[in-house]
Amino acid sequence: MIRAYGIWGRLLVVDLASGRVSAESVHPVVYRMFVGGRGLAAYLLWRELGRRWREVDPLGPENMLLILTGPLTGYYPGIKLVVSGKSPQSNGVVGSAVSSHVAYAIKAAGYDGIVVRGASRDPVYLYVKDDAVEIRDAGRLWGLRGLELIGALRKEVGGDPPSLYIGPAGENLVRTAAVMARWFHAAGYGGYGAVMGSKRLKAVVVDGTGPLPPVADRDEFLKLRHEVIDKVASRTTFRMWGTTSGIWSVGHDTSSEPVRNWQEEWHDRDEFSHVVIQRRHWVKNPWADWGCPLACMKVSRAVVDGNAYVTDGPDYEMGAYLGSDLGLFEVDKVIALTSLADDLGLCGIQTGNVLGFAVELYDRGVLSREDVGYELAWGDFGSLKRLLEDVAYRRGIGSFLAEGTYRAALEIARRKGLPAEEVLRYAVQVKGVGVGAHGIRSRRDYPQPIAYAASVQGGDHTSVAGLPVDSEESEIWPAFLDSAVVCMFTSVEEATMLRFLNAVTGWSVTREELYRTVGPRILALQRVLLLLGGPDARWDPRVHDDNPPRFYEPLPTGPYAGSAVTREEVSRGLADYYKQLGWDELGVPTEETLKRLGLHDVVEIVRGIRRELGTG
Amino acid sequence: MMFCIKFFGNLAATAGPELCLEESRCLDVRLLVEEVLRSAGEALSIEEVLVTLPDGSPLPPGTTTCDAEEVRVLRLFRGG
Repeated sequence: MIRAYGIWGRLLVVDLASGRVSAESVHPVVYRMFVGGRGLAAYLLWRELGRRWREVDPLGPENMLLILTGPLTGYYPGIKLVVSGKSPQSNGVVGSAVSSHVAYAIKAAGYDGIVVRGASRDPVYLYVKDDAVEIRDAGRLWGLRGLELIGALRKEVGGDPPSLYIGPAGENLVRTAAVMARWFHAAGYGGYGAVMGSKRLKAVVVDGTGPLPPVADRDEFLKLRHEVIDKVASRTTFRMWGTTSGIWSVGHDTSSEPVRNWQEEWHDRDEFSHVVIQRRHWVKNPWADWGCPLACMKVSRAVVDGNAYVTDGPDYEMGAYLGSDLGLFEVDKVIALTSLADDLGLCGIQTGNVLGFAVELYDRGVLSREDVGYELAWGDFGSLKRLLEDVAYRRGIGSFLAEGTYRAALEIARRKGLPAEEVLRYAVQVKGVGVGAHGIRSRRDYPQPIAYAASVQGGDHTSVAGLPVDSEESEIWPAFLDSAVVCMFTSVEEATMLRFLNAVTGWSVTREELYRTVGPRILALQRVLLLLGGPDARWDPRVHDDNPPRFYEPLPTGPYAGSAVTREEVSRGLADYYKQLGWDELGVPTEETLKRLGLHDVVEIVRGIRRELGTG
Repeated sequence: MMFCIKFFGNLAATAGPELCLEESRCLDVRLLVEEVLRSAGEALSIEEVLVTLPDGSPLPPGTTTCDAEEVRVLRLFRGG
């Protein structure tokens, strides 16, 4: 028998259709192959749904909602979990990480994760108290916004146990809806708030009171934990400002912040900065989730039009996507929009992306006042707020903007009788996923020209592709962090991360194994499922392994004006990246690679993909 | 003695993939890296990059150019 450390080897499985609750064992070898979190999600989804993947509706009862921890959850400083399933945005697998005490609570309840199958007829919430698991009526909770819901849950279960939940956006199957945690935290990428809504699951409350699984080498673990805490605590700038400082620096210094739907990526708006937010709006600093020595979060408060709004930082992505991308540079109003998105359970990135897209279409006359029902203008808080709410409740034009930027573009083109390309040229997304707020044109930020085009998570800025493959620049690194389940902001150099993993698990993962086998295995499986796609959108790598058209336009303003990426360098980069991963010229993992990675059962379905592409 | 800094990702595109310097004195590696980044026009502080030995292991505090022949430099924060 193989002794497991750092994991329980046990998942809580809840079938909402039948009401059956059970525990499923997962063999330690599976963890050794896929680590946990995102890797385990890819494995479970392939095993359960892979052979009929194209027919599985992400918003149908057949899809699974996965809430997974990793072997480093609870041990490594900082706390995260990964939400996954078949994504209603990409139709592939997205590992969507979120800070939440639920991660610790799941492990303390004796599980490595929760698997939700089927769909309930009536609204429910899941209550886990160690071994006791109940599917409870959520009729009174359905329709509540985030803050109201948290209050109601406290009364319902007593105390303040950690929870994951959805707002009205998830209930209304909005594809940009997030799974929320503790007011402001969102598992936004992937659209899993809509998956949770499709299952009529309002919340997951976990009160775990037991110990964590044992670690393999306690002395080494404690030594490394202190070492990492020292390193992380010394990141003084990040501790001071969190990611909020990016609101100024990513725009002004590196010219890679979306401004007016990415028409520009530079600004010099002094009033739009972390300094102004700190002085006028921070009411709590620092703030952290369980076990985090970095404590990069803040709490902001603003009053706009007589209404008070509270949110996080706002962190950089919210500032960019619900601020500069919408032409809004007044920080009190950015805080208000962010707070509203949190409360409605919307992903601020994906929703800001589709809002910016809509305003540009209005600006260009593609959308009219008759289409929208009111005027839209860059920086106009009133109309932006209204549009955000229309998306969450699928009202008017919000009903198809709620499908996310890619699908909204196709619908607008259809309604207007325009060629799809005419509308898609303004859609800053990759494979159904709006691009995160880090541009590639200036080359002064971290994403490389192939960052999004080659990512197995589309436009996800936390999971970018890059060269060389055997380094932290490649997508193997975020796949590893999301599988061990570690916050990227508390991660340190790879050698220490691997020592930490091995100390906890008793494994002996080497750098070579990470970059040659473990990481490529996770990426290959995600890539195959992404290429299968369906049932609505499917991706042809010859067309869709590409940047949004906007990224080929030269930057119009700022110190890097004129800078752009070229199609030639992207093609060269993709070819090199695929080759280094053992994929063919179209980015399909070769049979030899799949067999080397132990993915023998994937070979047949990949032959089908290759036949469709005319390369096999 | 010769000391080399290898840059990865977009840093390699702007600062160059490798920079080798002939140094007659022992210099603090982190301070040197920070100075090189500044002279390349990178708006990055030393806290925002990861400086490691060639095998990816951490650079011990106080390492000088006399203690190491080569270091790798990557952006630390890849998200946010």
